[in-house]
Amino acid sequence: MSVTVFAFRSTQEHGEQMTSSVWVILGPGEMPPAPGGLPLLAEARRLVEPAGGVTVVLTGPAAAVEELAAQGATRILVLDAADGGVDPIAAAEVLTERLRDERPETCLLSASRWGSEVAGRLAARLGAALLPGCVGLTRDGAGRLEGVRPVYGSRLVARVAATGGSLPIVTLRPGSESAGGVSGRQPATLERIPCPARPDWIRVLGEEQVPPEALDLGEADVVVAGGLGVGSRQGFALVEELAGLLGGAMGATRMAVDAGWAPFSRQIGLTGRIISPRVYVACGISGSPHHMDGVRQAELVVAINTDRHAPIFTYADVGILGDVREVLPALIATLRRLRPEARDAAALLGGGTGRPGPLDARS
Amino acid sequence: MRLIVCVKAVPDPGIPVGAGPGDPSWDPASWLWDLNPPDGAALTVAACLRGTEGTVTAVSVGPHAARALRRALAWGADRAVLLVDKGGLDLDIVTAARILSAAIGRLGFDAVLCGQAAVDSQGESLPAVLAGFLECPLISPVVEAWREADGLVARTRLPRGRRALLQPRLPAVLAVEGAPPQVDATLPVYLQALTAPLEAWDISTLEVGAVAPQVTHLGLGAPRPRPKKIFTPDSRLSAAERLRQLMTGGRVEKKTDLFTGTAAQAAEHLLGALRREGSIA
Repeated sequence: MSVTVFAFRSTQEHGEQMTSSVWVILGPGEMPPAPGGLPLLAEARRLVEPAGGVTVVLTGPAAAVEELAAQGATRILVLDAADGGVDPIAAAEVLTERLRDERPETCLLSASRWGSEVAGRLAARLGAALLPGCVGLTRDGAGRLEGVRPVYGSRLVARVAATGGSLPIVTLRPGSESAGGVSGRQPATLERIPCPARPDWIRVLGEEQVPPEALDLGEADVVVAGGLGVGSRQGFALVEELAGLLGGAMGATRMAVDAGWAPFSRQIGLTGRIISPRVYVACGISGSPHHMDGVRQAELVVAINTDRHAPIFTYADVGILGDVREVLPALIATLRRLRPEARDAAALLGGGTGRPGPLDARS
Repeated sequence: MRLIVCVKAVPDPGIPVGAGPGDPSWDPASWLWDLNPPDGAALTVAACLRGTEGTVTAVSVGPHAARALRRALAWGADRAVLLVDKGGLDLDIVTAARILSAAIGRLGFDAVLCGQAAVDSQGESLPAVLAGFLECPLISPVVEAWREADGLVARTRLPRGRRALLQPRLPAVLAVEGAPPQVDATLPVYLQALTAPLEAWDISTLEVGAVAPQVTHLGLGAPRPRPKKIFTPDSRLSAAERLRQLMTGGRVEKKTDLFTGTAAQAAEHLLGALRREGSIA
């Protein structure tokens, strides 16, 4: 095990404080400046105030060490994997003994897929008290940690607390942690822990993109929708193709669905689905309030329409005055030059039918 | 293939809960209990994996577990094991997983399937804790799985409409997401499931050691209300503009610069916007 002293305090001196410390375990993609890590750290600092140590476990490059120290981390453990990625099984194996030895007061993780699996495996290995999916943490009069978590479809909240002397392992839902940064007052030490991978446990056979006509509208980051301005069922093939090239889903207005150009499952608006994609591309859509209420939460709205007075342009961030039957083929041709493999790959998948396609490794 | 499906009984999502205990609408005695919907999806996947020579065993512990098991029998489980807790413990996730893993170990298994989440407690941790106790791989969330000559392959959900195909080393735990089968069992099958025998195992006979809850439930209450954003017109605007904003529900129109040009130019303009946003490289 290689140990590197990052800053000014000795590990020995620091180790003495670990009995009253809080651990924060950050998964891949949660390292600063990505969201998720710093709010967890702020919550940990709030729990150990006024004195106490915060140990941050990183699962990737230690590039964020200085930022973490500035945010209040007093010790940083970096799980070093040979291939760069730390799977939850390996992380739980490596951290079990350290947690057993050091017995921190609490262990915090994000309620992400990675964080939930590590928390669950650690709880099983340590016989710990698991408080999953909390939206808030408080202390009672005796200093005992209490978690608040939503139940019954978030219509109620339950207050839970760890029993006796068991280590509480808490997963916090995104957006529920303490807001605001914490100014660091202490130096931090850095330690690297080798983390052998377990590639034999799960073999990755491949990845695939669900075709746009099958991808659920609520799941898609990009939605390309067509209205009456698309002109025909054949015109909708262009909408579908563009959605496929952008890795998104196809949508439609009520008028287009009534015309039989798209199935009802693709309908967006008050009488269809209400969605919040990152990008919404409206092709030949006038922008009636009933439709636009379904995409009010979209971050970027792109509109293509021949009518410069169409209401859609009052919602759009990017507006193109033109016929979708001319603009879409040009856009598709340009995208095909950039990503010649994209549509072909989507066409080969069987995601829409629920059956594996020819891209599947088993064929 | 020996398949175990862990099932849970949950109250009907439509029950009135009011502000929790103490509220006049809070009446747990009148609640309808049924199988957790994602557990129903797990049963569907198990039925696909079973093949001709496999077995599907449903296991459950906790209040109203018998009801969940009978539904599982109606939906295709071959056998149902009810874990009876005579001490009436308040089971937290880790304790429940310890009891279930002991029962699963006694039954023997190639794969354990469970719903990715319980709709009542909104907990998504049971599959991970089970995988921890059983020391086997976990795949979550599974949308589909099928058998291969050398095991099974699971299709899991990734962000942005992508799916991964994963092959776990067996035995493994699969956390299945989704809804129960759309084709329900027939009435005769239900009637048969209502009278079918459930194997009752006392948890004290399982090798779980001393079972003591690790978590204390302190109570239920109403959540803190979410702050509601209320529109206020911009005071710098004219009275007519402010009235117009109020009449349109506070929607502020975007000042979009319309691009006019050839189709090729429009395509380049759009690509630039999508690049800036990050949708394409």
